[in-house]
Amino acid sequence: MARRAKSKRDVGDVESDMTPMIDVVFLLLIFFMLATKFKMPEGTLRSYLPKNRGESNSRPMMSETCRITLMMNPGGQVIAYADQALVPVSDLLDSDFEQHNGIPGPDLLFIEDHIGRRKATYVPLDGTGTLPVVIDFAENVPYKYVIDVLNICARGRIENIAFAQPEIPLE
Amino acid sequence: MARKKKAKKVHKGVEMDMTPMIDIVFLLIVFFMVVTELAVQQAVVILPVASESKVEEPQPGSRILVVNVSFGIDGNEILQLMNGPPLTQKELEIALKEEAAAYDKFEDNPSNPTQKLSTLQVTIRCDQGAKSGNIHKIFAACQAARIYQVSCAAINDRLEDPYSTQP
Repeated sequence: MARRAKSKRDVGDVESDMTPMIDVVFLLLIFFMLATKFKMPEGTLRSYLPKNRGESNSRPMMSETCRITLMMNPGGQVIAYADQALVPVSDLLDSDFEQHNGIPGPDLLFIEDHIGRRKATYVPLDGTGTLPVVIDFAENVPYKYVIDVLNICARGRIENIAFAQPEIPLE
Repeated sequence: MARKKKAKKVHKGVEMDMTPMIDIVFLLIVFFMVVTELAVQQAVVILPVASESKVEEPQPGSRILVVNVSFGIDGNEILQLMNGPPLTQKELEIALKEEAAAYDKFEDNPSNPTQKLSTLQVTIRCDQGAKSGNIHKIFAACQAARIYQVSCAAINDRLEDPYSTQP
C-alpha cells in the first residue's frame, strides 16, 4: 500500500519544462515578423478598348482633339508634346523611376495645365461629351509615362481617351 | 518553526500559468506564417504610381485575367498570362481567345449586331520601366479576342524605394 501511494504522488508531480519550447516559439515568431512584408493594395486605371475595331477611323478628323505625344531621344530622355507645344523637361527627378535612372522626365504639370485649358475651352460638336484626348506614344517610351498621362486624364475627369495604335491589318 | 515551514511551502507552489501566453504566441506565429511570402513565385513587377487608380472589388461571377510584363533575369521583357510561360503577341492572342471561349459569357456589341463581345476582364500589370510598346501588343491581342474591358494596374502610393532591393 505504501508503495502505491508513493507512485501516485510521483505522477502528480511530473511537470514538463516549457522553457525550450517557448524559446523556439519566440524565435519562430520573431523570424516570421521580420520576414513579413506588407504590400500596398493594387488599384487599376480603366482603359476600356473601343467595342468596334477601326471605330476611330470612321470619325471625322477632329481638330479639337488634344494630342499628347511621347517620344524618346537617343539619350534615354522622354520628350513630350502637348499638341504642338514642346513640354519642358522637369527640373526635378519626380519619381523613384527617374531617381533610379538619373534622367528627369517631362514636366507633368505642364501637360496637366494644357489639358485643363483645352478642356475648359472645348465645345463639343454634338453638345455632349468631354474633350477627346489621344495619347500617342513611341514603342520604347517607359510605361510609367503613359500611366502618368492616363492619371492626369483621370484626374481631369476626361472620359474620352484613346491610345494611338500602330496600324493593324484587318483580318 | 512550524509557521516558517508552511510559508516556504506556499511560496514554492506559486506558478505562472503559461497557457494564455502560449495560445497568443502560437496565434501570432500562424498569422505571420500565413501572411509571409517566403519565396517570390510571381513575376516581380514594379508598378507605376497613379494617384487616381482605384482598388475595385471584383464583382461576383466576373473573371479577371492578369497579363504581366516584367523583366527576366537577363533583362529582357517577358509577357505572361497569369503565371504562365513567356508569350509572344500571337501566343497571347491565342491564349486570350481560349480563355474567352472557356469563360463563355458574351454580350451584344451595340455598334455591331453581328458581333459578340466577351465580358472577360483583363488587367495589365506592367513594370514601370518596361517599353510601352507592350501595351500595343496586349491591346491588339485583347481586341482580337473581343475583350474590351481592359485596365492598367497601378498603385496609389509607394512607401519604399522599389529599387533599393533590386540588383
